[in-house]
Amino acid sequence: MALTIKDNKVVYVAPPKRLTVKEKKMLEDAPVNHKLIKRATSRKYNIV
Amino acid sequence: MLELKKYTSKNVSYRLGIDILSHVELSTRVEQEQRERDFIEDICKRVQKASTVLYLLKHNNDTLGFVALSVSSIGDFPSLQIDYLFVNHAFRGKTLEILDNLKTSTYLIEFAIKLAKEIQEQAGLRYLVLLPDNDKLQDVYKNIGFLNLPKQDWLYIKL
Repeated sequence: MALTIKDNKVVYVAPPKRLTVKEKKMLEDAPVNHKLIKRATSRKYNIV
Repeated sequence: MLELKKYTSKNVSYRLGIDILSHVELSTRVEQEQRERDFIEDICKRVQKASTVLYLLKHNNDTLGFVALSVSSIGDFPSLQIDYLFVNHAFRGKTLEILDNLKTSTYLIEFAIKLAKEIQEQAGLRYLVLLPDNDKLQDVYKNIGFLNLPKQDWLYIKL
């Protein structure tokens, strides 16, 4: 989701552009969920 | 047959929002129903403007839901962003055999992960990100595998 409603109008919300050093480190050090990624990437999706 | 129908600015009709709304059930709560209607109409306009690409998940005549994706960044890190994920009210919370016994939302997120990994082979991409619409959904997405930054509502999956 990147949409929300303000003053009865749909507005687009962007991810934060400025991160603290701690936040950047958390993102960098975050683990990769290999099990989830393997399950997602091994499936064939019928895109038309 | 299960299929993901792809809508971009090149093939979208101005009627997409109307078509989707005529094939899905929205929330039974009046306020939430209007919210979903507004989001669907808005996201279809964004498809027309090439700001997002929408993948509509269908099984035979049933519209299960859709996910809309765009390129973004969190901080300096390039990301694939889930602009909107919608599940037909008739299928919410249900695991479906046709979706490998996953819920529609999980299936659509795993599809987004697959697309993200494909893009990552062609261009820099570090995370899949989304902003849950409410606290309840925060927990749903965390159970799927999303992580969160303290004091931030945005969730991410490292690719």
